[in-house]
Amino acid sequence: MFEHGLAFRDKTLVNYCPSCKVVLSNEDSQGGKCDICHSDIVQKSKDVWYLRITEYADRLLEGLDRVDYLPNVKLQQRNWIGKSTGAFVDFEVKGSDGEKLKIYTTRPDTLFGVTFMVMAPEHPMIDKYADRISNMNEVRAYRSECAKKTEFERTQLVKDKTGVRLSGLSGINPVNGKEIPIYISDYVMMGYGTGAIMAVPAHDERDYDFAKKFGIDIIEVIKGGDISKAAYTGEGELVNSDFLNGIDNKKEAIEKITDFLAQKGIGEKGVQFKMKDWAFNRQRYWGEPIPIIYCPHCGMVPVPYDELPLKLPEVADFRPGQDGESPLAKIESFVNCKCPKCGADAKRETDTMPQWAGSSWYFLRYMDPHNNEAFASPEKLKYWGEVDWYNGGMEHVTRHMIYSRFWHKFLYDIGAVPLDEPYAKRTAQGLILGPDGEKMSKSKGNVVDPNDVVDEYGADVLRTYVLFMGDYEKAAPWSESSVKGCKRFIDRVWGLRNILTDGDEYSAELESAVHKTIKKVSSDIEAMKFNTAIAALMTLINKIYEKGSVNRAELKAFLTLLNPFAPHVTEELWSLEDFGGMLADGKWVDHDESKCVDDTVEIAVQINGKVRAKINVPADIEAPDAIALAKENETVAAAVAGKSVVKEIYVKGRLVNIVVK
Amino acid sequence: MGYDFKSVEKKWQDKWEEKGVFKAVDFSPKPKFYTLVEFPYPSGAGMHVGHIKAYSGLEVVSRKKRMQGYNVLFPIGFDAYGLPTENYAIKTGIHPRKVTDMNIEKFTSQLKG
Repeated sequence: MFEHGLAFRDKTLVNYCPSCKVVLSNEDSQGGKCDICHSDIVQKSKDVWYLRITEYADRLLEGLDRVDYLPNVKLQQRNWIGKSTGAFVDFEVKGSDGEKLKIYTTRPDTLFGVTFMVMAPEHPMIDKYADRISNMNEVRAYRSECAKKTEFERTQLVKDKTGVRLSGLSGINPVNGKEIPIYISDYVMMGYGTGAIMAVPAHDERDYDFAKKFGIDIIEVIKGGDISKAAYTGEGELVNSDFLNGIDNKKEAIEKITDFLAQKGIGEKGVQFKMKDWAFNRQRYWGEPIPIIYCPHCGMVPVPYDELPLKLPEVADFRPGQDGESPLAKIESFVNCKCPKCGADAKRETDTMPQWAGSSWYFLRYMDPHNNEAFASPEKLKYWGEVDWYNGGMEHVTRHMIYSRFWHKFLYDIGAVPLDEPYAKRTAQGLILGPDGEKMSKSKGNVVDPNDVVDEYGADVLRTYVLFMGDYEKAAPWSESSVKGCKRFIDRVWGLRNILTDGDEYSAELESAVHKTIKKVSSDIEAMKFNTAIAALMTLINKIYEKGSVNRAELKAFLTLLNPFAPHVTEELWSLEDFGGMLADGKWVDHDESKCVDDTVEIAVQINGKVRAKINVPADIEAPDAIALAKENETVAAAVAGKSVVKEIYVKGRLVNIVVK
Repeated sequence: MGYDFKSVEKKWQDKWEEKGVFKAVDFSPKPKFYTLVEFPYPSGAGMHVGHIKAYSGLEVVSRKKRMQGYNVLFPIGFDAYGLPTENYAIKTGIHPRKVTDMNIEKFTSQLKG
């Protein structure tokens, strides 16, 4: 990636604990406190590695049209990438030397409603004109407060808007020449757009709150709301907007104003992504070292291919280093090396890769795990191709999967893998909650240990239960009594031996039930409806016990269908009955569609004794179901509508009569 | 006779492994099917029932596909690098390499059981 210009170094703000002198992850610095010593963390500027994932943003979006992910997974990925179209607009800054403050907006149609501007507190223009800003002390104080907050805290958690007006600088709205104040506020980030925004308080909630707090004008430019009460974010007719007045189509208005901006040379159409370049660094020990050498003469030089992979050196002290350095920086034998280009004394990069690195391509290695020459041979990569089905947690569908898709597309671009999407299909399982319906956690004491279940009931019961407990994608609480229910089911399977009879064909009584169960279990497994597949097998075993016997053909089919869920007990029965070979190595069973049909009969439906319709119902249907089906018939429904039903009768296999008044 | 799951389950686990019935075969003429799950962090806590649910779903799919004549690759491994392991190491003072090895051993025995 370095050779292809996709790995670069840039400054970033990291969470830093001045007391421990370490860089902390967001998880380890929640609430602005160091997880280790509980002192206040600060945001420290540091030069770190990035991967240019934004270059692949459009391809990451386009690829989603060609894969079979759960709709929710696709949606989350699209939102995470966050493509928007809008415009860049230049606002002249009064008080500067003809400087333009560039902003990005998705709503250029509301330009006439701009009443102030907001810059990120870190915006470089502030330092440039520090001597002309009369309240720089106030600005500096505000900045140091912001330095303590993470981006999430700044943009997501803020309830009360804060900010400082820059005295001495102001903006000029380029469409109407109005002078407007410029503020700094923490809800604007340097990392998104241009680090400055135009604010339209009448039609943006955050801007509205800010304007209310600081007493700034609110000018309505879209009709439809009551801006004295709240921002109006819906669509409507444009007003107070000069040549845009009267347009009520947002798209048309945006096109018109964007053309105007372009003609006047004060703005242009633009695209922005929420996704940022991938901060690819950790100042920790336990990760892959970054194979880059710093040479005083040649600059950054990649470790030569024949020295890859660069191995993590053994180290006794793996704790994070001082001043935000990686523990690797302490190992002189690792750090000091020769420049591969000129041979001069040089130093190695000591940051390591984030945990997302290895998980971006681990599945490729499993195609060819013993290869000492390459991560996998081209032949095996071609044979195994893509992952046909990937299942995991919803918490991994954005970062992990998007990073991995990006990584894979890069490998595809350099000819290292044969396909550009790594995962053909993606599903996700729901959580298992504690018996109390709460998320399992040690502190709540509601954690179920799978070992206890295996010891008490066996692995077959545990497997069957976790797939039976509810819809696979949904969260479900643990239920000890349902575990016992699955245990009874497995015991009943074992008991089938006692009622086994000869027979190489399904018996007449069970034939239809067996075919239907094969059909249902086969399709339910493909759809991850494991709970209903198991329920169908439970229904079949009930029918078998009602009948009082099971023949060899029926038992074979039953064991085959249950085998994926309960492989041990089914294999044991298979072997005890000499069904041939190993079941795990056996063949799946097929159903005959013609045997899956229920026996049906045609019955008449009468209203007040007169036949109005004929319908087909299952031969063994019960009266309430037959009457309900009869009422679903259109003619019958129309005849009954608005009348009161006096009596309903079902004559088995012949007719339904409905008496109405 | 009651079902003695303890001896039966152990017996078949050994036999399946010995016979290699679940082995994926490179370049098999059968159609290939690659199923993948997110590997556990060897973080010290051992297996959780959530792991069982996450893995058994596709395991059922894999077993069915295999019986339907597919050459199935369904690997398991460990997501060893990264913060969960490192934080556990920092907390306990045990080297992350050793933490990883220890926990891999623990998980492996649990996965087979």
